[in-house]
Amino acid sequence: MLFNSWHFIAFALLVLSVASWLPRNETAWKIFIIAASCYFYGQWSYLYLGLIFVTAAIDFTIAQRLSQARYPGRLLGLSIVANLGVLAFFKYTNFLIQSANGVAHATGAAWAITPLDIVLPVGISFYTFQNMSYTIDVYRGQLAPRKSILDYALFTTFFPQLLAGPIVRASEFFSQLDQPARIDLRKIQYALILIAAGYVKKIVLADNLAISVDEVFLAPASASAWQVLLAVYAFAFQIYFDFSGYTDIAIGLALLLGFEFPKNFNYPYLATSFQEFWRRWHMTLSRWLRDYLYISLGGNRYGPARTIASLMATMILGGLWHGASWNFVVWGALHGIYLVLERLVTPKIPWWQSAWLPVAWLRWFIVFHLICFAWIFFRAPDFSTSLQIIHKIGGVFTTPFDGIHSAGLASLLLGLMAMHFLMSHFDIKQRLSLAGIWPFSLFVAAMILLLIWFTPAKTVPFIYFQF
Amino acid sequence: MSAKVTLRFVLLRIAGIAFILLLLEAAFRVGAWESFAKPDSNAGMAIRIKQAVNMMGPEKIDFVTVGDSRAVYGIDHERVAALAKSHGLNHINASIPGMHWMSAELMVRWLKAHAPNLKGAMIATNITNFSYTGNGYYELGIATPLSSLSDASWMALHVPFEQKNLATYGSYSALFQYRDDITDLIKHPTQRFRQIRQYRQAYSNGAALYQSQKINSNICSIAKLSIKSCAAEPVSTMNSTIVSQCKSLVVQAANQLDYREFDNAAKWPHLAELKKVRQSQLRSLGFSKPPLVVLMPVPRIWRDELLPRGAEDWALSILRPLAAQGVIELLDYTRFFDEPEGAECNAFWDLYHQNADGQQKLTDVLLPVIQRQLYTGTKIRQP
Repeated sequence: MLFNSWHFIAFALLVLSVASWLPRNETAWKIFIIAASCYFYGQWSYLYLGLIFVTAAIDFTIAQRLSQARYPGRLLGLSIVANLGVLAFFKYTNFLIQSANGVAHATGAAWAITPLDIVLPVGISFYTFQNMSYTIDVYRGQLAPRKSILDYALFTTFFPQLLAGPIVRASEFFSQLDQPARIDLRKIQYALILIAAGYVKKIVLADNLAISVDEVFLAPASASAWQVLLAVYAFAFQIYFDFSGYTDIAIGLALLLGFEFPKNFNYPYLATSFQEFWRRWHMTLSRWLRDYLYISLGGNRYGPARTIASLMATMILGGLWHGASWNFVVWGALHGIYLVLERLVTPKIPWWQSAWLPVAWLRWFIVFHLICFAWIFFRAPDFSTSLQIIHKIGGVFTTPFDGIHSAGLASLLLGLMAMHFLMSHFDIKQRLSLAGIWPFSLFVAAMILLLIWFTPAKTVPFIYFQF
Repeated sequence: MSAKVTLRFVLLRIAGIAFILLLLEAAFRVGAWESFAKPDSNAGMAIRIKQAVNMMGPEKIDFVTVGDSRAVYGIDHERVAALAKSHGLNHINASIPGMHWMSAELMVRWLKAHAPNLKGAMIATNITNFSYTGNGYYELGIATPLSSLSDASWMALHVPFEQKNLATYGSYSALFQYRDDITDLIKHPTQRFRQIRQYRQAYSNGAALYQSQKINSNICSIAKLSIKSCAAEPVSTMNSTIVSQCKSLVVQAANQLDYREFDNAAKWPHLAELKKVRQSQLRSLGFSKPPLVVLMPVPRIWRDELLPRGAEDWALSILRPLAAQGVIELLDYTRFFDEPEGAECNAFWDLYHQNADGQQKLTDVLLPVIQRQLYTGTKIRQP
């Protein structure tokens, strides 16, 4: 059941209506939300719903026993192995088989392993990280183990963020679950604004950009150099609107159910450094990687060499978390290299951090373009297509701008960048949440009109659902 | 805060949003978008006819021709208008490419509501228009500027609602109907306003209501080919249009239906319903003179390979009883260019439409009938 389907809209309306009549955070409410979440996930696969419950039961049981265990580290290890084992089996088995086959083929070996018929469970990367954060936090003593399995099942299956985040920490979730229910009308209004804006980001912006992007990435050879370059910029915006649109809807729905989820995006393309980019892009994943991977690997506590190794490992594993392909490894490695170089080189250039506007613009320009460069590997179906696209882009230096084919998309992208900049200065969503009935109604009606007029014929699934 | 307050808060906001959307829907329904619509789109063509009629003065209209692109290219409307004028009458052409039964009826209804002296109509159709309920969702474009809210169910009957196709929502909402038009305006704003200006000038004197479309080329290069072999023809500047049409029709040819047992309700349940709808539609036109229903010529390739087998008999089974009862005057020119050998390829410029030569030949035989059936004995309107 996709968020951008009538089925989901009807489902969400029904769930919100029933949930609002049940006493919030009490047993009946919890059972109802778990049941609704099961139905939501079950529309994709009831079999894999069982997998969620199995991993959740393991983590719940381990967390219960951590405080009394003689060797809590071993128990935590068991939880990590169980979670990563399931993730690795479903996500990386065939990747490893194909990589091994590739090596065998390259070295002239006569054997090849047949890939397994595995279907990747939707949302596995997200709920695995959430479960792991729970046991690690309990192990670290930052969170008391939850007594009620019902609460833990609710945390694991909560439908607004089950499929693609935001990756909510158990402590954030449970602290709100324990609070008495309070209705805040402004929050309801803010949630409705987020949901409306989220649908427009996804359907009107991302899905329309996808038309130009897909055309070029499917057949880069038949596109001009300028079309390829613009498609790369377009993908940068497509993935942003696709994922942040989904996140807005998820956060809005959670808010209507009484949970304030952490922000996941903060105008990432305004970043003037790579560190800043990762503080603005998929923020809940960034902090997960920082808190549970980078710091666990040593972080910056053991000298520059260890810091560099930790950074590279974190970013490569972060890339691999997105998908089982060498392209994601390259994407992660590129970001790792960017972060390392930023850490090593920029302190040696005195004027680099200058607040002088032209320097700030230069920093922004370089960061934005290197991010777009990395997106090529993220979007391209394989490594050779990525190289083909990079090679093709080189042609813009020798080819005049093909205005007829590209002017429309170029002006749209410039407009989107300008909007990105302006929106960061005027937090329209927050301001509207405090507005009266008419400004609010006008905004939402305008969003609905945009959806009526600019919904493309083809429905595009959310990009991050595949992870 | 109580649940009652929350409910009131949410309901008020939903009401606010609904009010704004309904206001906009009403504005679109009364024609607020019509001045900006793309002149050569389906909606734009219907709007242009409305505007031209209003500029000319609807009370001056006596007769109207409605039909699809076969009527646009197949009849010399200037000669029809000239003949009417010689009888002191005014016969306009309101044919629009893509017009099917739903939009034709809505055009007639709109004219009857606005033109008090309208006495009769010529419905230029063809046997292909009887095989399907409607002409696809793009027919909604023609219909919307001519329709009112009460027509929604009639429109939905012809363009079935599909949940996944937002264009079909246009049966119920004008906001959905202008989706493509608005998208196109955003993409090409300067082009749109230039086009609107040009069309406004061209339509300012009402002359466009009598104009004929004339194309001189023919289809002799592929006349004896089947759809399959035509689609496989090497493309040249001479035949590119026809070869691309053949390519687009290959699937239809491969799935040719068989309507020869059209009376078998168990086999073809929708045909019995379709017959009822068409016949009641023609009965309800309500002109003092029976409307002329002209079956326009259709190339043999359609009858042999594309239309359901028996489609011609099926169409006639609908019309002949009405003609026998005097509800309509039926003029069947389906096979008009079958004889002599070679006439057909010289009478069409593509697989659908007659060329200038075919248009003149058909108009030659049509004019005396129009004169006899529509104009003779018609009381001339007082100026």
